[in-house]
Amino acid sequence: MLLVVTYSRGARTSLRNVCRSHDAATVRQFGRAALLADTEFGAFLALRLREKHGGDVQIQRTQPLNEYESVPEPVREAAAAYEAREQPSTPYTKFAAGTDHPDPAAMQDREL
Amino acid sequence: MRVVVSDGGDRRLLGAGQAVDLRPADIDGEAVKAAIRGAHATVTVDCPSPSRWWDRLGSPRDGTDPLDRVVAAARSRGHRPAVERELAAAERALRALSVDAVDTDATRRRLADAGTEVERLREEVATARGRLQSRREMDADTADAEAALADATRRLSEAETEQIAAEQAHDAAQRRAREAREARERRLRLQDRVANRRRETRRALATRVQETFDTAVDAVPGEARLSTEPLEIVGCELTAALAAVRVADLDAPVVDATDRFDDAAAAVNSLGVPVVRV
Repeated sequence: MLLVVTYSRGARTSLRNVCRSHDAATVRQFGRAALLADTEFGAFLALRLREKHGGDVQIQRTQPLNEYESVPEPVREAAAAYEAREQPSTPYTKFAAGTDHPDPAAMQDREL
Repeated sequence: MRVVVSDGGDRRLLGAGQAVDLRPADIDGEAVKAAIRGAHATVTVDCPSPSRWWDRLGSPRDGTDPLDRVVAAARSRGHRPAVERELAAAERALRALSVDAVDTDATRRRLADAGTEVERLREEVATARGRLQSRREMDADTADAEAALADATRRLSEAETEQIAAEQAHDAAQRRAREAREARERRLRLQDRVANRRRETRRALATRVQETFDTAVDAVPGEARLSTEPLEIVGCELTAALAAVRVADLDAPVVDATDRFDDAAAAVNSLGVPVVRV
């Protein structure tokens, strides 16, 4: 899908108008951002906005995350284990220390 | 006030006093407004120079939003709501903020072109390899085919180098754009703050003169009311424009083209300022 983020009042108004007029091409609208359909028409709408508002419109192409495909198993397991922790106040760094769960700094350095 | 028109060397007095009727002289409202500002070639209005609020209040039938008039009237009386200081601070911050360009168009295009070229050359290398292979199988001369394959392979390698360079350039441009967007993010927040403070300022000013305005309406022809929830003028806009003049503290004369008063003197009486009837 196409994620359109706006950075000015004018661009935000235009985006809202586009979403209102093109319901079928709008997957979701969140305030100053919207997800448009991954179609030529979605791209047409997004590019029109950028044409009009230049750098105040950011367009990213998004795809759903399949964690079983793209996220290493230790990371998935760490997320599940941490959310099941007994002490809600334990920070993750402390939770992971001395276990096999990955270190947060190490995870930050590794791209998916 | 004195209204004078000069025609060549001739200076003719068209009217003097608090109420001047220029209808017989056939001078239109725009000319009089320019003359009051001291910017008309032939007409001179000898009067106190207009304040900054006069632009919005000085001619009750020029299409100015009636709420703008009420707000201007409140300001002309010297009202300064506390929120105005926050508004000024937000406006200053917004003016001081500069945003860098975030355009990555050039690097996107270069990257896409590099990808297309690599694709094309890969196919060319495969074709050249196939041709060389079949010539070997036929025991034919392979010199040209070998040269063609070597040439295509070399060009592919160059294109791949260019693709890597394009990727790096695009990554760097995207990083810069991300940082530059932080400033745009701040700017949007400031724009919103300015808009909110401006709304609050207008509301505070209108509320401040609401009673005075409602009383002023009784002294001018027609019916109108200032509502604060929502903030709007209910009723006749022209009446509201006249009442706003009565509320305001204006020095320069009002240019009246409304036909709401019997004569200029009645308008002066009702509005409480000098009036030029056009």
